[in-house]
Amino acid sequence: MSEQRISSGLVLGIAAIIDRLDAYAGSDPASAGSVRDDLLELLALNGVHPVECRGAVDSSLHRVVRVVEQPEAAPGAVVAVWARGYASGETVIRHAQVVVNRPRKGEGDGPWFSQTR
Amino acid sequence: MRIGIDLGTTYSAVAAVRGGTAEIVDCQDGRLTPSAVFFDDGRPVVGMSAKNMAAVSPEDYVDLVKRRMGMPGPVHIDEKGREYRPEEMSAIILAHLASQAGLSLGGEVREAVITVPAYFGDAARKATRDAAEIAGLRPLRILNEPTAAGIAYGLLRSESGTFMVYDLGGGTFDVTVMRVGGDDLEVIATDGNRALGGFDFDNILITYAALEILATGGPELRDGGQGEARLRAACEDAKRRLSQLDRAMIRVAGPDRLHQVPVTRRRFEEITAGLLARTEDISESVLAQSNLGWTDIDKVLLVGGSSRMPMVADMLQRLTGRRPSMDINPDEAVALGAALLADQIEPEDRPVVVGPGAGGFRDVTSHGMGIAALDDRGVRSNTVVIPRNTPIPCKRLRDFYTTRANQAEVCFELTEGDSEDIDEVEVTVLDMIALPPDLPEQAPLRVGMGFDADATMYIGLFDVTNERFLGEYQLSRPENMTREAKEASRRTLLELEAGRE
Repeated sequence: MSEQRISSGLVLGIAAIIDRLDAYAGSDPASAGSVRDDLLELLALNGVHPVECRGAVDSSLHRVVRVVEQPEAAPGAVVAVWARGYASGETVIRHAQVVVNRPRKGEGDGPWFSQTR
Repeated sequence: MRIGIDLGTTYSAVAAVRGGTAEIVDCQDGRLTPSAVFFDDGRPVVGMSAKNMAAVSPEDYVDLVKRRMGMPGPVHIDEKGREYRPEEMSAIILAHLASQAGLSLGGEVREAVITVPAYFGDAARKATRDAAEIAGLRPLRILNEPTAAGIAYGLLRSESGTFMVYDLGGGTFDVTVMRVGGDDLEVIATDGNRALGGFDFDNILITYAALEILATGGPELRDGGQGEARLRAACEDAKRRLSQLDRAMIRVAGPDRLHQVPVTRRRFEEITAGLLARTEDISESVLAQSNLGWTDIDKVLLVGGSSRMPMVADMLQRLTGRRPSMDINPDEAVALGAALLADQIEPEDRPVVVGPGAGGFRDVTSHGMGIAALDDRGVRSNTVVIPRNTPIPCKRLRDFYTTRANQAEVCFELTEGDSEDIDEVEVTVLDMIALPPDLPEQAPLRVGMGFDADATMYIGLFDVTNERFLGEYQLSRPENMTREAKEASRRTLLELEAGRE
């Protein structure tokens, strides 16, 4: 395994291509999906992984692009991902763009970002 | 340990001298940290994490604090009703940067040179100094940004001549002309536009792309939602690529299909020519204020990320006949220069004092300073004592006179501005000063005004008749904080920080 880290500029460029494949709405979704998976695998082989987006929003990983009201979801939970984020080890190269359920505020420790389910 | 801090409107950077070389210090967010604060259940979070949470509750998010420095009134009121002044919010950012730098450098950062725009007035500089103290940092010097850039470019000791610093940032534009000779760096004139930057170039490209997509039967993507976010990201990316390539494709996913808008560098330059021309006008104006022409400029230094656009260098080459310098990353030059100066200041230097051995950097006043006095028609008007663009540190004396015999007191009103019309300048009532008894009409009162190396202002009043000082006053503005208030803010900040553990 090479110690040399992949440049963040290259990751951002590949991430932009993956974004377009994620948004692909043409007649051949299977091909688009396979190219996207290849690119994700290429990034993973270079130590770059998509940022985890399940559960509560995390300001160190996620950029909140919209807040919605969804009574059935936990307060502060990520309910949709607009664009994947990428990290190499501890270093976030691109924050994930996420939609979150409106958090509850000021109710003691934790409810802000805790996953209550 | 000492660092240099470029405390920017949108982004900040930290640098330190290691092994004789100034280097940018990596913080949590990398080389640049967004100058933004988010109050997460009352606890301040700084940088990219703050920006990431802005949409969750905009009322807990604070940015662009630099624009409010030196102004009275809070920039934020938290849930408990606590008001935060601009210098307190800046202190939160400075404390974060210093602690991050400490982690990266392996030690505690105690002292810093902090940069401010050359146009900052006395109150804004004092507020920046106060912010450092609240953050627990000893401010070694409040340094003008173009001067810092000049230091980073190594103008001192290696070059002499007349230089222009062209600083096009994300949201602001500043231009400064300075002269360097030997160990001396003197700012001759400076001006700018606080609402012109790279962001405006992005917006024009976004409008262009959105209209092209509409023209080819596509949807309106400027919807304030996901479509617009994608469009903005694609346009910012295309703008960056156009700094290196002749053409780029703006590719953005719409609700039904992918939209592609080709744009050449030439087209981009055509649609943003008006913005570039505004920077040219301001540059011309600063040259005129310096009584110089383009041929007198030996070199132009590019500062600010947006100065990377090739049209900037092309324009400056057309004007000066020479390619501008971009040997140093334009985003980092100011912090690097601040770090070089921090390294150079002698340990025993008092923070506000500059000695000849401390580098010999000279800045200028960004606007005239004077007092309100009655003119020969009896109209209260602005009387400039220290004109705009006077090199600092400086001291000027001017005699004024009592208006009647036995005048008991005189109202000391400080003015900032160049116009004689009192309504066109900023007036601060400093004090009512008692005069000695039995002064005749038109008794001379000598006003001395001075700026130290940080452009902090001192004022003295001398009774010429009785040959005695009526007092020397350090400018104390109601909008600046008292020592007690700063100490209280420091304690609050430490409590907030402790709450994060």
